[in-house]
Amino acid sequence: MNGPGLLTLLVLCPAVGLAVILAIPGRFPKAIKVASALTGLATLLVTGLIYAKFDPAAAGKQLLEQVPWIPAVGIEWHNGVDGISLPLLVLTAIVFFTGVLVMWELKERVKEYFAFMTLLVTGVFGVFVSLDLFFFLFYYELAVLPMYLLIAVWGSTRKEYGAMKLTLYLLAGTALVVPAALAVYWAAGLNTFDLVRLGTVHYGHTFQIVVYPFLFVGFGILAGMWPLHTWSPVGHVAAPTAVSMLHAGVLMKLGAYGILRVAMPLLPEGAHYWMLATAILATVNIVYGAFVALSQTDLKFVIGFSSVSHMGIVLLGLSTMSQDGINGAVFQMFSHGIMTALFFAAVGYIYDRYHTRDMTRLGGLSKYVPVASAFFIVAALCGAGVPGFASFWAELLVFLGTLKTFPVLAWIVVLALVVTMAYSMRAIVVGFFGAPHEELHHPADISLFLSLPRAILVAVLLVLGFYPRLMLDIIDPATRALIGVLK
Amino acid sequence: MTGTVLAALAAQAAPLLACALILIFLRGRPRVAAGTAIAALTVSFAAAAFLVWQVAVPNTASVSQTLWLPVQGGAGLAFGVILDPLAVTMALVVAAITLAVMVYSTGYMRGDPGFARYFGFLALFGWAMLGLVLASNLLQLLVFWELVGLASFLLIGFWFEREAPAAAARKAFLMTRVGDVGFLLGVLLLIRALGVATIPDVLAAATSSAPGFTVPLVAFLLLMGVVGKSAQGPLFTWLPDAMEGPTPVSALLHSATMVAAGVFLVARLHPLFAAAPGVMQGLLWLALVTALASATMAMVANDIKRVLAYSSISQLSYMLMALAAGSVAAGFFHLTTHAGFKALLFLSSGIFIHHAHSNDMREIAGHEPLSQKAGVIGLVAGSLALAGVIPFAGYFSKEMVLGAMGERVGGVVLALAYLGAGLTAYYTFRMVFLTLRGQTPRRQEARDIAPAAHVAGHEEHFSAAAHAAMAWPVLALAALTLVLGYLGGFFATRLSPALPHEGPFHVGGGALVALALVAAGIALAWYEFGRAGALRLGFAERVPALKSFFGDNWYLDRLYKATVIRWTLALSRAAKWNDHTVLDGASDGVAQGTVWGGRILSMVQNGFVQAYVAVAISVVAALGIWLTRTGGLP
Repeated sequence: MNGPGLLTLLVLCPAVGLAVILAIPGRFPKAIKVASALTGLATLLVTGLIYAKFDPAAAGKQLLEQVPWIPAVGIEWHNGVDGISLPLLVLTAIVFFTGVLVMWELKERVKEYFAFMTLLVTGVFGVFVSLDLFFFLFYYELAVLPMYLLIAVWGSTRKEYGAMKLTLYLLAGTALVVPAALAVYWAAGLNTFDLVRLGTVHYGHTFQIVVYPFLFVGFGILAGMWPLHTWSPVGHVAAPTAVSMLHAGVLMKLGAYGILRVAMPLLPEGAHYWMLATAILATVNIVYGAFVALSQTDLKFVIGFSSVSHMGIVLLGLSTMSQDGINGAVFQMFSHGIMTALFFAAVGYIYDRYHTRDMTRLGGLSKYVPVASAFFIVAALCGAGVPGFASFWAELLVFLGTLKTFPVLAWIVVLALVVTMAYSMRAIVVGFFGAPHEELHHPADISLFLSLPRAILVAVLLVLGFYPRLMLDIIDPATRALIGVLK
Repeated sequence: MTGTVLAALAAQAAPLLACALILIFLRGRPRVAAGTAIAALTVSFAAAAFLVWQVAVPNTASVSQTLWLPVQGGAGLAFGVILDPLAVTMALVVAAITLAVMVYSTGYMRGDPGFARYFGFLALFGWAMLGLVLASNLLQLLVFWELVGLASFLLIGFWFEREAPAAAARKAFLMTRVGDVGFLLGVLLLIRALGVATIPDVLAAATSSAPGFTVPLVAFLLLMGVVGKSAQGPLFTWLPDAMEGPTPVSALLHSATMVAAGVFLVARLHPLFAAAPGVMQGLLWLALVTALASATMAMVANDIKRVLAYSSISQLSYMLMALAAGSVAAGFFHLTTHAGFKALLFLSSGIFIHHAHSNDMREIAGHEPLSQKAGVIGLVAGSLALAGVIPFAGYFSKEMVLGAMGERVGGVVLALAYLGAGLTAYYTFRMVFLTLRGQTPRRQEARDIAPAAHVAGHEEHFSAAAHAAMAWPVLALAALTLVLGYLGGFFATRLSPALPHEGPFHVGGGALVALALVAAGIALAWYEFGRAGALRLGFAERVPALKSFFGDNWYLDRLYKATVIRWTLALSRAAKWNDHTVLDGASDGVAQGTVWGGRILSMVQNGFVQAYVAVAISVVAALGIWLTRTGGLP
């Protein structure tokens, strides 16, 4: 048994950051921002250390930490990473750090804002490192709840409605997940919440078939699963920039991660039984999301529905239960996270300066704010699946996996790429090309400092778009191990 | 790593590096940006020339690659470079044309506010196309294929602040994407079936009919990509609109890059396509129809760039017909000569456009004559080559195409292909006479003229250096039209299947027929447009129905607007309505239901003790009655 180490440190980073932020009086907003940025930097550093210590060749969980917590019911402080959670840790650290920088101009209730944001991030890191089901669910809730306040206080466009809708949907998801998790706990009869040990038990066939949908749908709601996705675009639109970034970039991944870490390895027979149904739902996600995005005029709604579509690719990859499909799904979780963070960061700047996100009221922005526009265009191209960006490889792998398991669905989703291209082009051409509207007052182009976080995101997309093995060599061994469990 | 592999990598790395440098650091330094891009393409050109000398001349072939993408059920996908005569020759063509276009652009684009960005995009274009050509893996080829599309999008929409280029760029990217989903599916099926996508392995598997691998289906899907990229059949309408880009971009897009990529892919994978004869037969007919249809469109267009665009579509069809008939050498030879003379035609037309500030041939003719002779020389030399007049390059390659078709298809197809050659000569010289015979136009139809591809910001008066920058590439390419035609033997011996090649000046019956048809086409053009007192109105233009049908892309765009596009948008609106009304309505309904349910239940707790007691007594009474009646109580 190993004591607390790097992973505990990683969860502590934002927690300590939160304490520091709370300790700084609210009249020093600059200090609070610096403290938040330093917290982000610290999480990046610790993630880097974890990355360095991680051995991609070795399968299984690494950097394990295990300390008994409440032995009476078998709760342990049990953490570890594998090739599935490590990319998501990196993702979270990047989106957190860039998100803080993006919000540098925030003026309203600075202290409270960054406090809730760091609290949220604490929860996200906790989920990704936990190997104990209790802590997993604890952090899961910790990550979700601050969203309500972040949206309801700092948001825009029907913010109370959006915040309440999001919270209710996500709590409904929890209401499905928690009983199912407890059912698994009791069925195992090991008096432990240890995910690793729970995974060694063979649950009854009927039990798996009955319980799996609870977990899949419960986690699926957070991943934007059709038809329970409608909280997500509304929430995106209402949320302030960095919250949208974290929300679409990281939080939605928690749902997919829950399926991958809890539902599938614990109940493999259930997953097999339901795989066609979940794959069809995921396909609907992809096609439907793309079609809805094509008719939206609010840029944030376009991105919101593109997220629904792209998260469908993640769910589809998981549903194939094949190596290519899951590799692609995990890679897509990462690249979609970065991409959509870039999307929201880009739109955030435009909304800040132009006070509208309606593409029909914008137009011609590339001429006046070329750099700020370029960030949006890059994100849109990445979303359209143009190679050279990370998403291309992720989607390719999912398609490959799907082609083997569900050939018909693979054809449908590949054909839907035309619609994806259509809404991406529409956003670019209507919003950023053409003649600008006369009543628009054009601001100065984005400053170098505000470009920095966006440029970081672009660089990540490009590097992985050029050489996907950087990520896939980490993911692949973990996927192989998982496939072994699923068989 | 051998010298040839290093050269191949250098040829790709140089433009990529230049693109990154320009777009990140040099956007404010136009001169440095142009210099960087030109230097990079010079490196690529030198490397490609070295490769031709080392690979194509001795006729060797090799593949070097390294693992790029791990996939299930195989060793993973390895990316690298393929070095054989086809790849390196094409690389040389690409590098040479890109370089010429860049030098020309230093003059043509001088003073444009986006000058540096323009050169960054050109370098991106060069990199993508070189990567496509040298790719050893079909998936790798697909990656660069899409990047070529991206570069085209950026360059067609270069003057994005105007509506027309922005719309044209979107149309180009979207329409080629329709074909590309087929390409992607084809590649995915291949990888799924074989576990690899290295081009020689794929070809070997296709010809040995490996199990689980339906060659005709894969061939058909890959051809969808070709049809989109090379602007054939139903997917051609993006190319005429792509004229909205700067003229040098058109020169590049129509000659060695973008549209050439489709033809190159068929040449690259020819054994696979040859293993699906039915699909090849379909391609033959599709290309034939496209060749003739686009010729009719060229006959009525008044925008010089549109004439050239339709001629590109038509010539690409000839290349594809040669390939469909089974001759890689003929198809690729025509691609090479066409790259030279089509770039020449666009660049020289650019000189006229620059001079007259209009794309309309009648306005160009009405403008004061061009003092600079390079434009005239280029236009005439290019037109002679395009029409297929001996001894210009186009003659030899078209002769080889028709010869290959005569050997393998014959009949109606061949006759129509010959007819197309005659039409080509007609519309080409219609363009020459309309542009160069500087009379006052008899009929001014200004309303159907596309706006000149020019924006404010250009310097009105060009320095001698700018003129020279535009003249030299034109003159060099004009000289090439007299040289390239003699390379037929080189292609015939190096690109399988070998053709019987009797030397450049072998004149058989077919050649005489072709030359006669060309002469007839030129004569007709002269009669209608060239001679003194000509009406300057073609036979097709005199029939209004034909003129509008031909001039409007055979109504295909209207058809798409009325059907596919409308249906897609309707579906999209229906989905949006469903989301905002049905799904949101359902969840809001649940929320409302909960609220109302709470209100109704809250009435029970109304605070009146009398009511509570009344309810309690009634319940007890009802229970008592019920229990007595059912005999529960003694």
